[in-house]
Amino acid sequence: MNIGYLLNILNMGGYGFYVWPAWCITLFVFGFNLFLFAREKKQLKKILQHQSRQSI
Amino acid sequence: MWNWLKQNFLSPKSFYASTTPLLPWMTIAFVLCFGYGMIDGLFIAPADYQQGDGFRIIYVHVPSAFAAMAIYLMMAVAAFITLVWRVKIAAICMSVSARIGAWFTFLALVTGSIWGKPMWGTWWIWDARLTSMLILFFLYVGFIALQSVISDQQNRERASAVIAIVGVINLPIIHYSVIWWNTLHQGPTLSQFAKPSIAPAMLHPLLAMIAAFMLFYGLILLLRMRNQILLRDAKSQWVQEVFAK
Repeated sequence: MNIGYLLNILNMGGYGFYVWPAWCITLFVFGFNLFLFAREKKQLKKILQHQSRQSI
Repeated sequence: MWNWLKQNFLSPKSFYASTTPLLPWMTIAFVLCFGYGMIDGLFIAPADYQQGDGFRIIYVHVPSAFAAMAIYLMMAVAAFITLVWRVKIAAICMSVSARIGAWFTFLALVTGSIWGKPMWGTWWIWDARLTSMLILFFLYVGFIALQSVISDQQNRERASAVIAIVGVINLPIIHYSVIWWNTLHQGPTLSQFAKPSIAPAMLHPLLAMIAAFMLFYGLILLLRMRNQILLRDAKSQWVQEVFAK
């Protein structure tokens, strides 16, 4: 890919400093929500495993 | 009819079973909408004649603000159902929605602030729209805080449901703030479908992004609700069976 073209995209007509962080924060929020779900599921598994051991 | 619905669809077990086939379809729809919205919004849609490429922030700002309000409305409906009919699923929906809605409101405030700096020359102003959105964020945080301080489950659900319902008054204030008051924030773009104030080439990725944000909300809502259901019914036979699979 032409480096000039890449720089042009990153520059976003002089607004790259604002546009890219806004999109990055969005992706972070999406990713963090998925992480929260995954962490919750992991904790849930531990609880259920503990309970199934107790019932045995 | 209501009792039948409550027993067959709104019971935790049937809810868990009926949402399982929805998850892959929602994931595919989200990826498609987000992928199209991102590529079109960032690289294909023409630059705005006044705001240049800086306007591309609206593809994350408008959907997050829309989702923040829609989620609060959903939360309030769930709160009403919790108060009146005491449906377990509704209480879980209300609780999980608040946690997702708070993030989307935070996102709307941050992306709006990032947009405001190059366009208005300031990160923040005590404008009617911005202030009412900040109040929405505080409502979400207040709801979550209230839920975390009350230990008794029934009292916790009732108190937080009341907060959620009372807070609905803020939604029309947010929506009409740009009409009722002389604000720096621009007027509504999407509420005038008969005469939209945005070009179709810019509108299509925006609609795709709104759909993507709502699908993401739906997806995380279902996933986290399913976790909460398993946790609440952890001792029941059906949960042990699900866990064993």
